[in-house]
Amino acid sequence: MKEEHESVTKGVLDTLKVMTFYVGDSEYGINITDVRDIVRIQDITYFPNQPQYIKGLINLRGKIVPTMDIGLKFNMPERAYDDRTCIVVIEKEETVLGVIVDRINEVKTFMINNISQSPKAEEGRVNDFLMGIGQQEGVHTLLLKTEKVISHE
Amino acid sequence: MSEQFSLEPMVEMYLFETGQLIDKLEQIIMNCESKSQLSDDIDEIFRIMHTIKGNSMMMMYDEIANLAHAIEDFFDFLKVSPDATTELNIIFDLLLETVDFFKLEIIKISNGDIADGTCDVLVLRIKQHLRALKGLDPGLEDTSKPMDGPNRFFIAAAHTKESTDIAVTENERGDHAKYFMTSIHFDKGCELENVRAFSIIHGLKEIVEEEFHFPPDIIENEASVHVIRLNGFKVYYKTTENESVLQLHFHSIAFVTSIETTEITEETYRQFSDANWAEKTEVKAIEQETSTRLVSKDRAPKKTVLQADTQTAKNFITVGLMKINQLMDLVGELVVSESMVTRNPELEKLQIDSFEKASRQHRFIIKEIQDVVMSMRMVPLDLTFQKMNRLLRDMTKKTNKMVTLKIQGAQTEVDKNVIEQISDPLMHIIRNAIDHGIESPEERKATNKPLEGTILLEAKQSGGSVYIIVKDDGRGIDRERVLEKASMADLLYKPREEYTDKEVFNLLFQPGFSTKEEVTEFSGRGVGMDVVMRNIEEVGGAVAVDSQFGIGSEFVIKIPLTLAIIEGMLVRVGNVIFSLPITSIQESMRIKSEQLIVDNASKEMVMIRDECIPVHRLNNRYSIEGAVSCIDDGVLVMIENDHGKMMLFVDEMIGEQQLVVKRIPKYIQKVDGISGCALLGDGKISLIIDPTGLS
Repeated sequence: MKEEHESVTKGVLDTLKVMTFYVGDSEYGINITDVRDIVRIQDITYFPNQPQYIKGLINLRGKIVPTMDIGLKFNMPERAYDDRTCIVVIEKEETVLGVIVDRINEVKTFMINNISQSPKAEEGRVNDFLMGIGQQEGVHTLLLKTEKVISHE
Repeated sequence: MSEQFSLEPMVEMYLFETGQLIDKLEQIIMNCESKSQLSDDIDEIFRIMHTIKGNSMMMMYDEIANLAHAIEDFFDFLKVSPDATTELNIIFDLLLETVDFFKLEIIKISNGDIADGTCDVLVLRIKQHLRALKGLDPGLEDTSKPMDGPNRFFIAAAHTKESTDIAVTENERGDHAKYFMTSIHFDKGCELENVRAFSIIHGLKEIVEEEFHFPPDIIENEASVHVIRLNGFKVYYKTTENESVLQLHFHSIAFVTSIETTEITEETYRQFSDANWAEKTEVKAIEQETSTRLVSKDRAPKKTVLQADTQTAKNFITVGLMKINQLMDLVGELVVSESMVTRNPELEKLQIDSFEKASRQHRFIIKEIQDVVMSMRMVPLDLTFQKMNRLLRDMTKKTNKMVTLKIQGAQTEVDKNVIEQISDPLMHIIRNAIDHGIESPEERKATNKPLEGTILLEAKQSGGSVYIIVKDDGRGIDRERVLEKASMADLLYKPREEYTDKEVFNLLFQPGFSTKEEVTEFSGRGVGMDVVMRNIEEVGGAVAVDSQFGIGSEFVIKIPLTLAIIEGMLVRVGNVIFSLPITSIQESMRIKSEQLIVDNASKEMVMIRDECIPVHRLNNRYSIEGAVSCIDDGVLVMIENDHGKMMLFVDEMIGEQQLVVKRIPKYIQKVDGISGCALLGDGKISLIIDPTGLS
């Protein structure tokens, strides 16, 4: 999947392809080249003494992958998981991470020059994570910086 | 025989073989140096250089080949006159510099970089020393004959008799024998050039008295095809036959594009027919003829290596580490899937005897496979320890200290994946021992110690771990100096007097400890002991140091025997399943809450056979909800680590299981006491407890 998308996004330099998903009421997007896998929510094994947003480990076809709840990382209240909850497995700089999201959406393509800068709020945590906001057919997508997602800040 | 070579497997082979030869060579040199004797090993050193040269020439690593060639010439001379010199130190130094150059270039190649190092100065020194030994004037000219012969040869069409250099030799028949060189080019894309060349030679042998051709090994060596394509096929021959007979022969071969024949002098011919012509002249000669690269290989040295090594070659096979790791992973999965089959809960209810028997056998065989595969990855520490000899030699020379290295237990085996990681830390520790530990001979004399310091490098296996000990009889660690440095680096968190000796020594491992004043050429460059500790911890090991001021220091590195599979006891705490290494479990028991003793600091303990053992509640330590809290309802497991015994309070013990150890993912923050995770038969994940980390 990675190679396929990489060649597509590389070929067209002025666009950004993102995997979009919902957390709470907002739509977010992560660069498709960083997305390895998307799976349904499954049993998560607790790992002790971690920040509250780190839920634990999952067994992804024999590979042990850590998972975190991005809503909790954005200081949103705890949400219950249901049968639409998914885990988006991302990989960047040799770190593999499963991101728990409420609903998975679709792959969207944005023109780079159409992406607006996110307002620089003082402490707005979410804004730190954004590389911009894209808009398509009236819907705003908050575009996440993958490296921020995998960091512990 | 396609146009493109795939050099990748060839490069790997080259790197592997040459790497082995270099290591062997270094060992021999160190050995000779310690004996101060060279004569026994002259032949072997010559052979090794010959092989390295041949291989490097084939792979077009000219600098390496040139250097090997220079040493080879040198030792060729020594073979004949082994007593030519008593100043062996010069030779050892030249040899080790050669080894270092080789190592450097090999590293470059293995990283995918160009081997762009130059060694002309070293080559010149070697040649000059050789000339000196021969009693010759150490002039700056090259000792090998320059080859300008071929330059004169590209005359367009048939040969010409106009050259005044042509000498004529008389043979028994009284006819004049002449010498010629014919260069043949084949049609582009005709393929099988070497086979066609062979048929030329085959027929030619009937006609001429003598012939030599280049490339020499056309049938055995596929690389010759490439050479012929680039530069043509060259035949040098001596004949009394009429020129037209020869031309007829050459033209009778199909797919020939051009034939150029020139008459050459006997002298030129002799140079080629000389036994060593391939080595001395071909590289230079062809470089002069054409600027394109050339692939040439001297087949002979390979054969000698084969003969010498057939003994070992028969008993060993080279396998890529990746394949073994893959095999290891698969065996791990096999172990887990075997559990899933035989411990299926529905099946267990049925209690079928024949099935029990069969599954027992099944489990046994799988265990055997597992043992064998694990042993495949085990490598003795021997080679790693030998590297320390070289380090010692270099450092003692530069620091003018007298130190001897004693090695024990080098046959102890360690997982190959682990060995890579500990080589550097080990070198660092030994470097420190020599640099800071062992005193100068004067200082040692003043303290009535033997002038020569001793470093003991020992490896031994105990339990599930391998211990590597570096013990020196140097000046030991100065507690006050360490505290002083730590204080300046802002590392102290309590008053100096409150530090136990052990805690003081541990300060050495803190990042930022090494200050600039201690920087010598070898140590203290900020690549400190903290990096050493980190590298060792990365493989699941630990390092500790003990010291007595004035007497010496001892560094102990503990590393797990294998990273891969452990025998674990599964226990449950809440809904978390932990695994305890079987080797650390002493016993388990249930107690009544009355037996629990609580001290004034709320620490819990229990008396077992007059021994007071602390109790640790895992649910508290790891914030696990829903676990058993009443002592009566849970189980106490007694484990032992390096620091003593302790009781772990868990909900229940589940059972023993073979576990494939997996690293904790990078993203997860390290937690004391948990050293890894494992996949259980039912797909669940278990956290592996490291007893030492719990203290």
